[in-house]
Amino acid sequence: MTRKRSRRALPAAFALMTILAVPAPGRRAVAQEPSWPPIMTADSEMKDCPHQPGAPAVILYREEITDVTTRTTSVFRRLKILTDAGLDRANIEIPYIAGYSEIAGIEARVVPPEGPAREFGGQIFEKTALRVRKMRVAVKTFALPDVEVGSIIDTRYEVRHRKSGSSAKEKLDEILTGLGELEARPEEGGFTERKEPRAIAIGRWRVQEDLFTKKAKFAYTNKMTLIQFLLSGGWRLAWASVGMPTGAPRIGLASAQLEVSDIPAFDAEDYMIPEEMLRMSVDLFYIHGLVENGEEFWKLESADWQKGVERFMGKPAKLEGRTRGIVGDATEPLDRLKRIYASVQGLRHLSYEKGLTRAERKERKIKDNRSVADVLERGYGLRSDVTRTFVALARAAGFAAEVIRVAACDNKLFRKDYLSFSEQLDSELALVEVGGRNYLLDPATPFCPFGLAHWSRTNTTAVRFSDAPPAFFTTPHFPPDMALTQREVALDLEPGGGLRGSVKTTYTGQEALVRRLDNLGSDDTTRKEAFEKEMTDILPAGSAATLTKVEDIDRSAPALIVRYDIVIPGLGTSAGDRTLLPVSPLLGPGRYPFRHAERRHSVYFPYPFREFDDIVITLPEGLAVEVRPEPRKNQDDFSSYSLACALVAPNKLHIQRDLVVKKIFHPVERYAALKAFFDTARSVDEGQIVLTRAPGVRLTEPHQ
Amino acid sequence: MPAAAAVKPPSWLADEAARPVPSLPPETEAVILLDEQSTVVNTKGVMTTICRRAARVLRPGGVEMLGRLALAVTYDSKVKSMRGWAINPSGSTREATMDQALSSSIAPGTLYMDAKIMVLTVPEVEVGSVVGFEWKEEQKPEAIEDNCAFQGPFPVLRAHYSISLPPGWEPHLRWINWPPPEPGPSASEAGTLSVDMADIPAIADEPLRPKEHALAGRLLVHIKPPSPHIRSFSAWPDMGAWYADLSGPRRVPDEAVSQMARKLITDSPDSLSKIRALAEFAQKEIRYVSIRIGIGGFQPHFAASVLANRYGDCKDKSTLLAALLQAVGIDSHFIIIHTDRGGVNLRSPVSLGSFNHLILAIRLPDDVPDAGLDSLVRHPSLGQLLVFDPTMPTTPLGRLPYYLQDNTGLLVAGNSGELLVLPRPGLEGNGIDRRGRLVLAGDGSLAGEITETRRGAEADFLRYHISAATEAGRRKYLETFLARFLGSFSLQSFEFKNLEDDRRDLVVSYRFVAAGYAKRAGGYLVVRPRILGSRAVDLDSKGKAPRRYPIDLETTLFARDEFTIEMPAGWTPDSLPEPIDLDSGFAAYASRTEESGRTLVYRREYRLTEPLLPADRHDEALKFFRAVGADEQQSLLLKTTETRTPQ
Repeated sequence: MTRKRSRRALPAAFALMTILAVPAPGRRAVAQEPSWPPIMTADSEMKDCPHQPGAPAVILYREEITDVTTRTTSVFRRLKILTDAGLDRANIEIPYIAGYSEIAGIEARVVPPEGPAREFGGQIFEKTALRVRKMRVAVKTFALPDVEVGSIIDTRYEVRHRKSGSSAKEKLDEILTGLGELEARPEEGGFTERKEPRAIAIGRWRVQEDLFTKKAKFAYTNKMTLIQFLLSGGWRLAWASVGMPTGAPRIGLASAQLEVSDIPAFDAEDYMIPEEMLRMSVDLFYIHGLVENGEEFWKLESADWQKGVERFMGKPAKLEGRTRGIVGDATEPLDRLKRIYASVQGLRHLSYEKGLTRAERKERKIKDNRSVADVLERGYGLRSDVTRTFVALARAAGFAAEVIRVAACDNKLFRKDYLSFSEQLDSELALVEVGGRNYLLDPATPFCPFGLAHWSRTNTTAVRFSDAPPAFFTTPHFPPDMALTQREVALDLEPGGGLRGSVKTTYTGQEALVRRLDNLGSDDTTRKEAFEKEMTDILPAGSAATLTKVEDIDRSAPALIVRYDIVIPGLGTSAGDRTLLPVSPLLGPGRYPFRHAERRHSVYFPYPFREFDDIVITLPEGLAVEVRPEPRKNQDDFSSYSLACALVAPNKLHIQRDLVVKKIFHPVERYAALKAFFDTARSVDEGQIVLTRAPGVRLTEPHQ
Repeated sequence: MPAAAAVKPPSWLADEAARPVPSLPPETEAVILLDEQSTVVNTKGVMTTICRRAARVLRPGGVEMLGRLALAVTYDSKVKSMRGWAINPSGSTREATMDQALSSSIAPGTLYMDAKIMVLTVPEVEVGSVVGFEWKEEQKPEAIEDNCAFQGPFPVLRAHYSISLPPGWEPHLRWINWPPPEPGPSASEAGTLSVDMADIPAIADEPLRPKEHALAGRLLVHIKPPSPHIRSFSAWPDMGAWYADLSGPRRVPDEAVSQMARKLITDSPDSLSKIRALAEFAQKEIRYVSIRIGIGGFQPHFAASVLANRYGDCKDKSTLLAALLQAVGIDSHFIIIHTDRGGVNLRSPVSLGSFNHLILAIRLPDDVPDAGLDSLVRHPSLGQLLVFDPTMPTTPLGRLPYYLQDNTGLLVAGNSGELLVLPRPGLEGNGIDRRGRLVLAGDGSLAGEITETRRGAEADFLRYHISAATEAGRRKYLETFLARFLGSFSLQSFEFKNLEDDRRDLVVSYRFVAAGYAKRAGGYLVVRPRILGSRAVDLDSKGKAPRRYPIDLETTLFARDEFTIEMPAGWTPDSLPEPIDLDSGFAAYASRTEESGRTLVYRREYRLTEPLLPADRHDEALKFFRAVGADEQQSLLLKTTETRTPQ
């Protein structure tokens, strides 16, 4: 089974492993450098960081040197305080997992802007960040005294790795997952790591920080002899990087080194691709001597996975009886397949039960499934169990069906140069051919209707069954109409200028699915609060939405329907003898996502989407429409927007607004155009309808 | 985490699980069935408390909040045992024991502390579960008292409190935010005093209500031991004396402190400038670092050590400042206070746990004029006290941060103490003036510059955030602000003046172009003369029960806007919005749009004089702010001075 992995929280050094059978020599004494490295004049004189104006501090130099033979990582960091806000950087914290590693040889000094350097001689504290039974995440911490703006801070220490293997980290991940502290992703299952892996990740150099870094050096050395190398099975070092504009590590037999300079500060933004794919980093890993190259790795791993899937599914003939019972009297192929799909969706989806970790399943005596027969007999399964059961039943019913393994893109994007099958290809879908058409199906996602797959498994890299694996391809993405939010709004303009009425919101495709998943396990009151918040976010400030009904949130119906009563106070305003009314009453800030002129990262929407508002406003007696906004329409390859306001009766306005985002990925060079698109939409939405008041009719202000 | 084994829960929990739950509002996450606390005090003043809590989870949120028990282990308190059980709707049961608890000594804003939090989680709790915890704590506090916090975010069906004292020890019950029961409880022959309560409502969420600790009912038990060797407080002077004793030696200046004080005031010609020089040093040159070991949560480090390290927490900063002042012959007194207002008022009984912050009251020499010092308190015996918080980096001497305005703290004076209400600045003390000159083009675009002059809390708050921001962060702040009011705009330039000089007004100016600000509507241009800024406050209770708690608008405020908009050539107002003039007693609001030649001039004033309103004024405040909101939406029509052809 695939183990849930996360790289959150722990620096790369904690993941260091000694995979080679090289006995570690006795611990090296803490490095006793005769002195600190000299400070460059330019660094002494630096007052501001031109690459990050106003930055609280700048990293002048950092170094991480890992020596596998001594199981140590030496860390050095030189930082300059540039503003008062940077003084906090003189509070040093060094986290580690007690028992798995230890921190030794901590040294630090402060070099003031004027006067001699002062070595740190104060107390170093050790605090417990988290302790559960024998597992303890500890933090060495100390505060450097007498630090001022302009001070340079040097710190260095050694991380001594006491135990090999990543069990401590995995244990910690499991604990945190159980506590709900880690990102909650449904467990996939379906891939067993080999006892003798073909590639092993040994660490990640996190190159980019939240401060500008002038220069950094990372090194990994394993001082083994050629004989040791040959005896080890020919493991060799390899690397894969993220976001590095230039500079590849120098790789030797068992060593790697990277020197980089002028690394910009990382700045997270809304609507960007997963952060791990943007923050500069280098992954190091060993590849087994029998694996010639990356292509070979993917070929072998895909073949293993494929075999495992086939073994789990077994012979179709054994399921024919079961399948006949499921499809019943259906004769049309698509109907037959849909019945199988519905049947499998009726299984208990263990992956979506909150808190049901591997340990919890063991405790509750919920056995792991080893075959489709197990799944059908027990009536439950992890995600991969459910998908494979569906494919096996489909095959038994005579369909050409297969399981595909995809890189779910909600937390990463696939990197072919990073050799880890389970970390990257971490989810499964079904691919079934019916009448010459391939259907991508996601039976393991609760409430996912036939014909749809959760967005995280669309438009992403996948591998499918093949006689010559790996057979990579990109899963399709669904068009905007498969993520449609349609609002039917009926409002009365009240004499006081307020609008009051009802909204029926119909979500289909992805929009329905994500809300159904968000509301898994929630109760009526929680749903009411969540939907009312969602509605009020797109209404002007001060508005109120009261949920009146939710339909089909707990099943795979084509649409999820949510109904509200809404009140928008004071939207119609008086201007002399006229009344003004924005053409779209749905003017909340939630509709316009981009505020800033500058952007660093490309824009990444989870899926293409469409919002269609159909609004009818009934005017009170004595008001007549004098001016309506002209129809507007903007369209390009990335998006489209239209708005039309018609007078369908003397006292009735009919407004139709249609906004479509057709592309998921919008390169940063296109950001200005994308922002302009939403700015224009807002501007048109805010367009005013001018109403004339009959003599004697008065707009009553709320305060009167 | 490994799950606990299924076991039989204790009978008290099974009994609670069998009790019917009355009808409760649908938003109720959970209900406390039983909240029981029994304290036994021995002759040495050691308090052993056994607690039981049983709760029924009614909604998913209740799982998170009541499926866990969190207890603190500090230098004066130990957790002797903790166990938890769940009885699930299916009838299955679970247990968690103390060895499964996780612990952490991480605390926000604290570099190091030797205290830890222990958290015990019962696995597999779900909606419908009854969760029970039983735990035992032992403590020997600095001053003996007991607390029973019976009211919180969940309704409580039954609460029971008892305390057993050795012979000769006297308990005194103090009810906070709760009416004392009639008749009051009396001690049994065995010396045990018991209190039973039932149907305690939850503290509900309401917009802009005071913090929970200012509203929640609790029972404070003062204990008077016969022996003077066991400390207890019967009144605030007792606590003042204790703190004076605890902190006194720490604030004595040594030679290094005295030398620094003399150096800092070298160029200060008068008493106030001397005080200011010393205050600014403690405020700006001592970085905030909290290291709490043992009694370090109460006791400051020595002033000399704070000076040498150039770091410390609120106690340390105040202590160093006190020592620096003393070194130049100026007296000062600590004020112990809470950063959330409302928990303590002049009628509150003394309690060690009332506060979380330390500031300083500086005794002003007679030669200091008091003009312009908003934080000045005239004390009947101590004279003029200038209250100062050296921990808030952007509030200068003479002003109070908003969280201290109108707050009540314990003034530690001599070998005593007394409650002191801190001043609330006058209307002019917290203010913002916005003035803009803008040009409207015929295509509807608006261009120009707006300058904001901020005083008091309005300046401090922004200064605090902007000072720490990069240039890009400052731009983003302004863009986020402008985006609330303008659809499409380009921020062309901006400037923050006096950002580092908190004694002067903070002046923020920004130049922008807003395309399509005025909307074409047939032959009209629709213009909203209130270009930006909002004074409307959403107090709508969203259909829930009548308002129960006061409305806390934080500070007084005097805000003025004046926007001059040059109209495009050939356009003139069709009509002007009617002026508005509102006065609700606690606040006043007036706005007016006038035509002056080719310009429109929009002016408004907002005066908030009573920032804390009782609940019964909710409807009045709601109506007031709705009217303000409606006024802010007012637009006017410009028409061409030539032939008008509306469509």
